[in-house]
Amino acid sequence: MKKRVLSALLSVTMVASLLVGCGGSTTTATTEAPAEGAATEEAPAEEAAPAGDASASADKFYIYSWNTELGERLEYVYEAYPEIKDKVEYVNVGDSAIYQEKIDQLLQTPDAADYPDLIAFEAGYIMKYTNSDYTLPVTDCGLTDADLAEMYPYTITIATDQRDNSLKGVSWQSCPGAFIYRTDLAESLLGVKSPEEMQAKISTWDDFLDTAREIKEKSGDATRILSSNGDLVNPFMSNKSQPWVDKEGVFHMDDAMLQYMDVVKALEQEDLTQKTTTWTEEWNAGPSGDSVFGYFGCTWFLHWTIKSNCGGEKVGEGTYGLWNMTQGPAPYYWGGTWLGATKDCSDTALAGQIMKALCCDTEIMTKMSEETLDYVNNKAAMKTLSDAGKGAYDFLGGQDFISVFSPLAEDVDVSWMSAYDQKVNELLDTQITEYSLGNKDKDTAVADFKTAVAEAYPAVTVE
Amino acid sequence: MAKTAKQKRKTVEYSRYGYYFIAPFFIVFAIFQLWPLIYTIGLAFCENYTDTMFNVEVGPVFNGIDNFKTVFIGKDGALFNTYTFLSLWNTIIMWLMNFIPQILLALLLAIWFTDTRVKMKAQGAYKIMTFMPNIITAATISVLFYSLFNYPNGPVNQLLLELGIFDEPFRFFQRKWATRGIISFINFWMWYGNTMVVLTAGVLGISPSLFEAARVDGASSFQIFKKVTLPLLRPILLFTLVNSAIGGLQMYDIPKLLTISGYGDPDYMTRTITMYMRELAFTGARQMGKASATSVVLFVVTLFFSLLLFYIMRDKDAIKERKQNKAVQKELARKGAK
Repeated sequence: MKKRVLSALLSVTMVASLLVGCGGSTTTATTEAPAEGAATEEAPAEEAAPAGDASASADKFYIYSWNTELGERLEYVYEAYPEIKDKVEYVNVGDSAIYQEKIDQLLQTPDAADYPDLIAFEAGYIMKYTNSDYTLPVTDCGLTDADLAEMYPYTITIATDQRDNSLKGVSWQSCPGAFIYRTDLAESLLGVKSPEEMQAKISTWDDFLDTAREIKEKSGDATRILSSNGDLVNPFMSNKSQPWVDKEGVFHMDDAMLQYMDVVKALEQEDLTQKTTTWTEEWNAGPSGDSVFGYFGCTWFLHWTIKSNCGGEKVGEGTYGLWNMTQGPAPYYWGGTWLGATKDCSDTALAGQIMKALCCDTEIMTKMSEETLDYVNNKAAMKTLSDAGKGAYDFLGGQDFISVFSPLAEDVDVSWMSAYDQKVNELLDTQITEYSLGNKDKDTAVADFKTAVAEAYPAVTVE
Repeated sequence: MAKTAKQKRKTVEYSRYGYYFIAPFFIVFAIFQLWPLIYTIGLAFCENYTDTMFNVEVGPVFNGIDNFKTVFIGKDGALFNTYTFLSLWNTIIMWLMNFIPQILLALLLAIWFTDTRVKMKAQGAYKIMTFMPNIITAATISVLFYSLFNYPNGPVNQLLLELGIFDEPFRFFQRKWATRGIISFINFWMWYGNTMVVLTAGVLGISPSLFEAARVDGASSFQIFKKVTLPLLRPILLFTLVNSAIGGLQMYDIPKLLTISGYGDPDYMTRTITMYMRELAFTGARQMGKASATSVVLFVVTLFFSLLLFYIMRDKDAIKERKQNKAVQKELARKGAK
């Protein structure tokens, strides 16, 4: 009997000690919540949210993205509409490599507290979402055709559901690309004095290779036309005449891609680039020295990649001011972020309000562009800035970047895009590397590429 | 009868409490391990992927052994000519390349550290140093080695150029054996300290009097190692081998983080089977069915390797002795019957 009492006592103390650990937090949580609820009747939801109360945090409006950029742009929306700031919860997934996986999982759980209301998409995979039932047409959020009037056409084409032509996403930026090159090197090595002359030297891919050889030879191996072979990928992808996978689910190896393989091989075998890898330390170091002649870059690339790596902050420091832009062998665009509402969005009116403010409101967008140098997806805003002389950029030695980008943005053709782009491009990159290094012949590389595509997408027909 | 019932009531059944205390483990195990395991095996026989075109999930629908067909038979119809078996092969190669030197060095160090005649100085410091890489995260080590072997200006490349071994920088991460070698080396370097500590504990568990007796009998160091240490170390060695085989077949972090694309550069030659499974299940068309079939293959291979190791490392003497005992007993029984 004694033993039984003792054992019961022991187990009770043990369970009790377990509970004490949790007890601390639960008691504070329960005492705190009513107190705050009484003080501010309106906002118990926000206060209780950190405690992990599912029903309370479901009231929040969740916006998902993979970096801080959208969060910073949202500040402009809050400035115009301060009342929504407390309701919006911006979630930065933090890594674009896992972003899709994260979103895919979240979209399967419409009842979850952190189910996204608005999600950001990158160009590489936006079609996967806009061509699906996971996203809502923007008209459901209250956007009208008038709101879309000032947008560049390609940003609308990309985000249109190919099944019923409804628009599923909007973007606040436009990202036409250009070839950005060093003016001083162009003059000393090629005798080129203006962007027009430069354009003539690289108007086709054959000219581009010839110029690359000339730069290597005349600089005595000190300078190469590009930093890495990977720099070519964006202009070439835009060169495709058809998407990787057409509407019938048939895979196509475009002739432009075969040409791409040969150009990369020529660059590699003839030692025409610095042979770095995109986005690595060496690659980032390129703009500050004389080893790299130019980059294929777009609007954001100009400001946040070349400028921030040029080794200076004003004219005379590093290579600041020694750059210029020209179209290059092919018009293209690179990147950009779209914003779309999800199927079970908790507040479509708010979603519409944010989209309108961020992507349609000329006034907000003009201000945003002026302050952040973002090339916004609003023709009127860009024209206002250009007319006001805001485009003259001391980093480009006074060249007006807006007037260079504007016609390019109008011309962007996106008929070659498909939901498969990002993954297929990665698969292609692996084979191009093997081919350019001479480890494989062209037929083997193409065959291996097709095998990889068939492997990744069982529903796609690869002949 | 009444008496026994009364007695029963008096005794306290303690084993019941034992079950209560281990219950949480089994509940968690059942929910988070047993059920997913069964579910995965079920999925392996289902068609389940997402059609990327319109982001529509297909299945899961039972489709027999179709997934296993695509896992085993390549596009050209050849058996084992698939990405699954390529990645399995990569995994096994990289495991062997790191495990064989690792166990040899760990064994050697463990013997030296425990040898009463060698009496190495500063053992503690050395043990800490060998164990250190195991404490640093795989991500940090990957970044470290990536910069060390960087092209064209990494320290290793600069050293090789300075020494005149190479005329121009070498692209380590675009050569399959170089990349595999680096991955194997990192795993070797990270884990030999750990293996050494386990083996040292094992050697210390052997009675010193056995070593002394052997020495008095005039056995050489190698004879002691072969005839005393190794046989008595067998259970620990088996543990290390099986543990490492399972860990090695699940190799993921270093090859995933070391290569730029994370898909096993160059040309999928360093893609391990777990990397491939993740790629199948979460990228592209998210082929859960095929990924499950691949993981079932991994399960079977792991089981095979573990059983093989158990078989190789079995105690032959003990088995022989048991057989002899049985034979003797039979003999005795036969004699008794007569």
